[in-house]
This record gives sequence, C-alpha cells and structure tokens, in this order.
Amino acid sequence: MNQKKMTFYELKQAIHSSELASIKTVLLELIRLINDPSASAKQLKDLVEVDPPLSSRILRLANSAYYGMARRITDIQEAIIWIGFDTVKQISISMKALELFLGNELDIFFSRDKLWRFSVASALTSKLIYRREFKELGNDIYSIALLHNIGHIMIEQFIPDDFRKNLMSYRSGVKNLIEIEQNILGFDHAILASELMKEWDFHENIYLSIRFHHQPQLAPAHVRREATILYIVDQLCTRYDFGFSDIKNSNKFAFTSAIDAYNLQEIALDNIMTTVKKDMRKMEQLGWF
Amino acid sequence: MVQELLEKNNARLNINDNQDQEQEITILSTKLRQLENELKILEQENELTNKRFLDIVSNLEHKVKEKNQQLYLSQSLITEKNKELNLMLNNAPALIYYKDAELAYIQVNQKFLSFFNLAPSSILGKKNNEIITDIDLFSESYDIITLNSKKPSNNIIETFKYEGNKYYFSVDRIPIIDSDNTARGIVCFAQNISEKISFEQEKSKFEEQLRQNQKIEALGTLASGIAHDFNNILSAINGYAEMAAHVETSPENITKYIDAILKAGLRAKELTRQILSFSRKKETKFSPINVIDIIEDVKKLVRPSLPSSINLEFIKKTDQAIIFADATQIHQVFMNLCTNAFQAIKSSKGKITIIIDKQKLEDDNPLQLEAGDYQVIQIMDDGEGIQESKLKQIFEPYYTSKKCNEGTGLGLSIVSSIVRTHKGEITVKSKLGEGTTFTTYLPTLDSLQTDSSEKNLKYINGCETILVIDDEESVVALMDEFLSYLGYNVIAHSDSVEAMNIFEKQPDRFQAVITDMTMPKITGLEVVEKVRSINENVPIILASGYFDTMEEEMISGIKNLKFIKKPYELSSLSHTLYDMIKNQNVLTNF
Repeated sequence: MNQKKMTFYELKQAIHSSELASIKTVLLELIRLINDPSASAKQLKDLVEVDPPLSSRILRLANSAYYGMARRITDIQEAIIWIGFDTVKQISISMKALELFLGNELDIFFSRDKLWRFSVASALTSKLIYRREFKELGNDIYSIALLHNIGHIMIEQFIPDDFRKNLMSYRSGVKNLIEIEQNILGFDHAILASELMKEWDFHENIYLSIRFHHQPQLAPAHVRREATILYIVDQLCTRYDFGFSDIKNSNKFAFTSAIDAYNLQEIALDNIMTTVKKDMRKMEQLGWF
Repeated sequence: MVQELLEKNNARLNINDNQDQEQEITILSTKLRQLENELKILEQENELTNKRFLDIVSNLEHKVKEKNQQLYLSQSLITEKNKELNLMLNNAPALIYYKDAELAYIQVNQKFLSFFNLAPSSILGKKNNEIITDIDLFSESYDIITLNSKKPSNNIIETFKYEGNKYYFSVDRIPIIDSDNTARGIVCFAQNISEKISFEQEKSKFEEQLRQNQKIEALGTLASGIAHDFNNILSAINGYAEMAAHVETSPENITKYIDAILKAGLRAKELTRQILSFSRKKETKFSPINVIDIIEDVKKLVRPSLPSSINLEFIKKTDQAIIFADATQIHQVFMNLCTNAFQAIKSSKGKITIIIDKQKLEDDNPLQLEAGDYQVIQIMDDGEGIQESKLKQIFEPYYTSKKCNEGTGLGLSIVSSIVRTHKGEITVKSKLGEGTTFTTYLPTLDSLQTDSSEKNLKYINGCETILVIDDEESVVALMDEFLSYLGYNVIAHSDSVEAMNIFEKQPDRFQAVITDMTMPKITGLEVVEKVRSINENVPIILASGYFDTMEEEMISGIKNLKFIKKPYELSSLSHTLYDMIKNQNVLTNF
C-alpha cells in the first residue's frame, strides 16, 4: 500500500481516536484500584460489571478447572468471594490489557498473541522480583510490565508498512528493534507509548518507566528502579523465550551492571524464572494464551 | 528459623567441603531468602485480607441493623396503611362487606354495622343465616352468582322496608380472583340511593312543571299577535255578517258573504287548533311526524306577532322530514327558538330564516350523536348576537339575557333537554352584531317506514281517461267504481278484443292502460304489444297473480310499463297510476 508518511503528531491523533484509546478508561481505573490497598471488592465489581466482554473473560477464567469450583460462578461478586480479591484484581487488569493485544496475525514471526505472552511473562517476573527481592507487593510493576510494549501494537496498527520493514531488518540484523525504529521513524515504541499514556492521564511512574525501559540509565531517579527492572525482565524473558521479544539479548555488560545496581544475583533470578515458567504453563492451561 | 536451617545445612555439607557444595549452599540460601521474603509479603497480604474480612463482618452487622430498621419501618408502614384503609372503608359513602368463598363475613365497614345495628363480633366469621338482624342482610344469592361467574355484578337494586321506611340500595359486587383463577371471596359496595330516588321523582315532576310554565310564557309573548289575528278574523266575520243583515243586495251576494264568513270561521278554527296543540298538556307520545308540518304551524303562529318589517322565511332543502317524536314537544322547541330569534332582533327591522336540510353523520362525529341520517334545522336571526363567553351558558337553566319581566331563563335549557330526549343535539353559533344561528339535529325516521305509512294513508286523485281490461267481470266493475271515485274517466272491458278495438279507434283518448295478464283471446302480453305498436309512451300497468321469469324478461325492456302483483291494494294502484301519468306528463311537456 502506498501510504503517505504520517507525522508523529498525526500518528498520535489517529491512536487517540481509535479503539485502543477506548480501552484506557477502564484500564486506568483498574490500575488505580489494584494499587489502592483500601479499595473495596464492591468497587472492583462495579467497575468490571459495566464492561461485559471483560467480565465474561474474568468469569471464564474463574470457572476454569484450575480453581476447581464445585459450583458455577455466575458473577464478579462470587468470583471475588471464591477466588479471592487479589487474584480477581490481577485477572481483571490482565484481561483488560489483553484487549489491546487482540487483532489479526500480521507476520509469522510477530503476532499480537506472542507479544501478549511476552508481556504476561514480564509482568509475572517483575512482580516476583519485587516480592522476593524487594519485599514489596509488586502490584504496581505488574501493570507497568503488562503494558510496557503496547507501543509495538500502535505502530503495527497505524503504520503497518513501516512496522513490517522494521521487523524485517530486526530479524536479519543484530540491532535491537528500538534502534531500528529510531533510525527509520525518528521515534520508538517506548516514546510513542509513553507520550500517549501521558496524554491519557496514566500515572507518571507508569509512563516514565515505560519511556526508559530500553535505556534505564537515562531514567529520572524516582523511576529508575522500575525502568531497570523492566530492562532486566526483558532480557530474562528473551532468554527463556516467552513469546515475541524486541531485543537481541547480547549486551552482557549492560545486563550485569543493571542487576548489580539492585543487588540482584543471577542465581536468584534463575530461581524466580523457574517459578515463572511453572506459572506460565499453568496460565496456558487456564487459557490465558 | 532460617538461621537454624542454615546451620543444619552447613552441618550436613561439612562432610564434603568442596566447590559444588558451596554452589549448592548459595542456591539453597537464595531460595530460602526468597521464600522468607515471599512469606513476609504473604503475611502482609494476609493482614490486609484479615482487615478486609473484619471490615466485611462489621459491615454485615451494620447491614443487619439497617435491614432490621427497614423491617420495622415497613411494619409500621403496613400498620399505617391499615389505618388509612380503615379510614377509607369507614368513611366511604357505602356499606361495604368482604366475604370469603364460603360466604362468611371477613370484614365490614362501620356504615354497614350501624345500618344493620350490629357489633363486629356478631357478624365476622358468620354467614347471613347465622346473623340475627331486624333488617334482612344483602342477598346471598347475588353473592353466589358473582362468585360463580367470576364477573362483577353492578347496580343491582335491593330494597328493604323497615319501620315504615323504604330503602333502596345500588349494590356492586366484585369477585376476588386468585392467580389460579379461583374466586377467593367477594367485595361488595352497597350505596343507599333512597334519597336520590325520591329526589329523581321530585325532579321529573318539577321539570314537567317547568315545561308547562314555559309554554304559558311563550303564549303570553304570542298573545298580542294572536289577538291581532283574531281581530282580523272577527272584523271579517262581523263585516260580512253586517253586510248580509243590513245591506240590500242580491241573494248571490249574500251567498258570497256567508261563504266569506265561513272561510273566516275556518281560519279561526285552524288558529285555535294550533294554539291548543301547543298548550295542551299531555303525556309524551312519540309518533312519526313531519318536521316541516310542525315548522309551518310554528310559522303561522309566530308570524302574526312579528312586526311586518321583520321578514320570516322558511327554506326547505328537503321534502322528506319524518322524525319519530312527540309533536307537542318539537312544536315547543321551534316556537321557543323562533320567539328567541324575534327577541334578539331589537330594532324594528330584521330577518329570521329557518332552513331545513338533511345530513348524514358518521361515527365519531363532533356532536357525539349516533351515526345516521339527521334532519338539520337552522334558525338564524340577524339580531344583536351573543358574546362568545356566554355561549356555553345559554343552555343552562336560569341563564337569561332578558330583562326581569321578559322571561324565566328556562327556555333554552328545556329546548336542549327536549332535543336530547329525541336523541338529537342543538348547537349555537353567534357573532356580536351579526346574529345568532341555532342548529337542531334530529334523527330521521327510517325512510322505508315513512314511505309505506304515507302511501297507505290515502289515495291519490286523478282526472285522466284510463282503459281497463280484465276478463273477470267483478274486477272490471270494482276498477270502474274505484277509479271513477278518484276522479278518473274509466273505460272498462272484460273482452280484450273489444277493448283493443276501442283503443285502436281512439288511441289518443287514453292517458293510461291497466290490463290483466291472463286472458282468453288476446293475452296481457299481446295487449302490451298492440298498445305499444300504436303508442310508444302511454303508461301501461300489467296485473297478474304471478310472473314467471320469461315473462319478466319480455316486459323488462319495455318503457313506461309497470307490473303489479294480484291481489293488489287499491291505494298502491292509485299511487302507481298517479306516478306513471305524472312522469309521462313531465316528459311530454318537455
């Protein structure tokens, strides 16, 4: 298709008035709920119930064999009671984010489905690092990791020809996708996602850590840890081959200095990845992918 | 705990102290550390969950309290509603009872108890035959009918006599039907209408009185005019009588004078009849009447009382105006409307126009009358008119624009009530300074009925020459006599050959031919053929006891021919004959 070259501004405008933008309201509200310890189950229920596709996805998961419910769960209230508030919160935000990844297969090498699988693995990994290494709940980083690659979806959907071109040179070359994007487009998926999320009123911690997830050393101090963990998790999930990755997993030095900065040992991360692998298998059985 | 485990491990590993072991220790300690951290987080989460659980429990307690509160509120609401219901039941203007399907009383209102002089304990839970009262209770058999039919029964009048008083009740019974369509009980409302009934009786007497008064009032208005008319008649009578008595004149002239006196006398008689027919008080009697005749009468009565400068015109746009009505009352309506019209014309000059016409009203007409044919009578004056704000009131009793001594103000209300008892309607249109039009709608009586009733009434005379042919001598004699009586010139024959000879000789002498069908020698059909071959147009009436289809076909194409079936009525023969000759005359005059 002979496309007129879109400016960055035009691209943002196109995304603003698209289906992607319509997902943001519920997503924002879910992120707020998940990070608010005083949020009530009723708030979650009220939010999810006005979104029929979301609630049906949640109920499908809740009724899957994994939770082994003797009785059929027919509403969100019941799901919260029987499966637990925290689990339903996590399922809710993931299933809402999944809507961003729904779409047609574009390439054998890349698919939204593969990118979705990678995002879920990143979310699980980063959450476990926070819990097991930093002794924190890790709900915040879970949502950030889940969304950190939506820039790819935006480029794929709105400038598909450019996306395909970038993908081809990424497959055949040694460069990371982000470097190719910067060379060809003049911006990259991290900048694009970050800009839009800022305009959609996402919290600064979220869009800034996404903005710098390929260059954590440039991130402002208050989000540097989040950006670094995203960087580390990208490397780990690429190494364990969880879906589509946009990096070549080659810069050993940068990785070592990143984990050193937060006192993380390879051995501890390997242990976490064992859990992630197990969890991913379980989720696969649950029908997440 | 962790420390303990580490020591245990170290102790076990001390046996083979090498690189591998150290590596394994690191892995294990990392796992342990991570588990410890996870445990801490889980503890945190657990705490949160506990807190949330406590919240839920206390929230539940709160909710239970709230629900109890609500329950209490709805209970007091029910009590309140019960009070309201009792208030309504006890103050309703009816005796109310509620029975179950076994016809035992479940509830009655205060009015019920006081009317039958009962205490609640002596009626609730009991049936009619278990209750002792001075007055019989409301009929149980109607209760049973209502329960069985599962349909409300309305306005059944039940009467009681008690200590010389008679009570009338209008009783409504309503079955209470369950969702499975069984009748669970019955509610009954009985309204004491004794006063209303005696009031109605009084009212109809009063209304009758009013109508009579109004007639007298109208007569008063007309008196001067009638007096004037009588004076004219009397002048004529006296004048001619004087001339006959005192003037020397020829006997022929005296005959002329006496004739004139007789005529004047007849006119006086007619005038008296009209006044009597108007003022006579009699029971309402409906019969088919012609509105045009009534209006002509009214016109004759009103005319003399009007100044000659007021023009009174009657325009007939229809000649069939038969309605089923009380002649006296309809007379009164138009008398009243004409008098009003006259009184509305304040100056000495003016015009009153009466127009009669037919109109067909469809369903849902603005007058809300039944669909059908109506006689529409408009009475228009060019008087001062009525203000629009007052138009609505003018049919109300006691409304009047007249001065104190001019009228009672009851006229139009009576007019309107008469028109309505005749299933009609009266409307008014008015414009200040231009005049007022009253339009009266009265339902036309079925035209067929009037036709026959009118025709059966009389014979129609004629003076033409008629040829009558019938082989039956008695028929020939009867026809000769009957038609001669009506004024016709009759040539009648029992021999058709002879009759045809006469016709052939003087074909133009006859204006009509009446012939029998079945005759020896020349048959009716041959007569028709022969007559037509000589005169194409002369009307022919063919009489027969029966017509077969072939004969019917043969005569159907012949013009100016009608057949009548034997035995025929003389009146209908006279009408047929009259109509045919009249039509023929119209044609030849053209």
